[in-house]
Amino acid sequence: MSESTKDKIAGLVFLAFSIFVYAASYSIKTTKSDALGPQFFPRLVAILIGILAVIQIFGSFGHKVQNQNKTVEKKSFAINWPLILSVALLVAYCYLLKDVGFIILTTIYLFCQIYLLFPKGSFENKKLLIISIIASLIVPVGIYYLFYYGFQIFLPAGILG
Amino acid sequence: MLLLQGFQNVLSQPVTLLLILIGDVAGLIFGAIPGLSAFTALAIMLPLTFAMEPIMGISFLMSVYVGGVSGGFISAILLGIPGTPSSIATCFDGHALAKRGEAYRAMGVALLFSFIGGIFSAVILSTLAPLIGKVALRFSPYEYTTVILLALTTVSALAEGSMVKGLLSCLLGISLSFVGIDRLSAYTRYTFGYSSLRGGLALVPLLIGLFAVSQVLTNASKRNSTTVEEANLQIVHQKRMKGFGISMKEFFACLKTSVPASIIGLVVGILPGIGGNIANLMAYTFAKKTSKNPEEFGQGSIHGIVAPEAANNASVGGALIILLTLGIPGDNATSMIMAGFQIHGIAPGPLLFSSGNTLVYGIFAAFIIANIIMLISAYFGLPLFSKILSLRTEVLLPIVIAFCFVGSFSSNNRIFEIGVMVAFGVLGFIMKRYKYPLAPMVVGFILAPMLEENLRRSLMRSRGSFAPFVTSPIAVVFLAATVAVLVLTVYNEYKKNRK
Repeated sequence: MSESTKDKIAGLVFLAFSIFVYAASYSIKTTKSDALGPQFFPRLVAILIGILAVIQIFGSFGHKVQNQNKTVEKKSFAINWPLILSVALLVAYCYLLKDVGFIILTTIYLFCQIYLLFPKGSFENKKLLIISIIASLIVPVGIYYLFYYGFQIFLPAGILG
Repeated sequence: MLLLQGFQNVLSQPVTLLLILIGDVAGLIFGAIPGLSAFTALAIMLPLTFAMEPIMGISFLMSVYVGGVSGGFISAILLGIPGTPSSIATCFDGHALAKRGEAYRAMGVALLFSFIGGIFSAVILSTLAPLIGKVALRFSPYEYTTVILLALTTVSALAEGSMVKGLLSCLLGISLSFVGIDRLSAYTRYTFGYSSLRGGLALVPLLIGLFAVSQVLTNASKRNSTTVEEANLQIVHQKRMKGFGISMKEFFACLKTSVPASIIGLVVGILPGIGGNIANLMAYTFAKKTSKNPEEFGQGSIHGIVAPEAANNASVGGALIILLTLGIPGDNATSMIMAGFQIHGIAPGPLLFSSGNTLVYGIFAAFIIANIIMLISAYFGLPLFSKILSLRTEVLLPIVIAFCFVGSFSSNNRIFEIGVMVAFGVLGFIMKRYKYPLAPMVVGFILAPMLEENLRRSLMRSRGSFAPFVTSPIAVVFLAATVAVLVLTVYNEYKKNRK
């Protein structure tokens, strides 16, 4: 995607967002206690976002003419699996934390995330693999007890609890 | 006098000193590791302060910040990779010296002048802040509204990328602050019926998500473009140095370079939105331009290390000036310290300077002590810190996230906050991809409630008239400055586009 296309898309998203903020301001209960009321500021901000979004959309047309010669599409549209899996991992973490518990789930998270960050094939190097496993096993237990005994912060215990 | 009391306050409890030492060392380590920064260190350390007394917790966070900004020079010199963006310019000459086997000399100089920059800003902070605080204490809502407006405009205009994007990012942050209870009318806004949102979005998960989680996602997305055979980082055999590796004569020559550099750092630090990241480059350029031997820069001139390192540490004190006196955080690290204040139920701002408040002098004292301990601990720890660089970011970053889970969770004791953190991680990643700066969003989010409250209070006072905004001289100055920032930025961008 070229920069100007990106700017256009982002501009449209912001425009939609401004309309959304403005529309949702109608459901705010108003009081007469102050001159402006709780609706005024959100609406003002929504209008400003809308104006800036329009400026950005139109501005990106101007850029396109300038950059047309320079921008050569070189990126292929391959799906970025490490990215998607990392997001999935984080989302799954939120949903499972209560039931599975901090120690077990964080161990799994750490190992998977470390795997996803290392370049492909790194774990053929046994040393890296062992370091990753040790880190994934020790860190969650360490954190859990550090916060449990040190700071009286009780993390979800889940299955182990 | 009050400052002495502050020292007494901090020194009377040896635990605080120990915490400052731990904070400094932790900060130095995080600062030294490329990819981790003062912010990451603060994100991890924040939950540790929950159980501490306010002065201890804040001293601790402050020392993490000082260490984090300083630590960047270690990898900048040894590897030629800045440990934090505040040390970009240190690479130029620092790494050149390391290639000659003079890394310890370079690190000694960097450390010494980091300290001098830091102490310089600490002195200015403890003399200037009370004065600014006293003036700010008399601010009416009109004046406060315009100050915040100026801060928001500056942070949006000065952030990387175009001003339109900076402003959009800032306004997005402001919109996010609407979620929850409206402070003046006590009705909820933008909760869409979700009771979890009634208290509004919490600052800690939002910050951690935007800056730490998005970093993991960015690194993960680049996985396919890196290969297994990474460049083996060969560290040249380094000569050991006595003292800081420079003679008295060299020291005084460097001191001359460090003065303008520290002033640049301080002023840039005061301006919201840019901080140490820009200060070090500006100071380097300035030192090179004013030097008698500019050709030595880049070839291993010690002045090329002095300037950026003095500047980035001086910017810390500058950033603390506006944080403490006006309650305005300038970047992600200071936002994290702001979160630390909130956890302890303290609102940074003019009220800290009202009479009988000893906390603020304790903070000044802690900041000075943190700089001194940073110097000592880094001096003895340098050989050790150099070894830390062999740790792999791929392993460290997920561990940081594990701490972030705890930080978010414990900020409100509910799993919902981890969800908020993840959501903002994804948002932060997308915004970085689309070249929207993140700092304006955070600052907007933090300052919006103050802006709205002051604006509405102003109009309640004036019964709906906007006139006091243009009749109060202070408010007029701030408004004029706001307009000037906008006009200048538009003009600069226009000029750049025509080139």
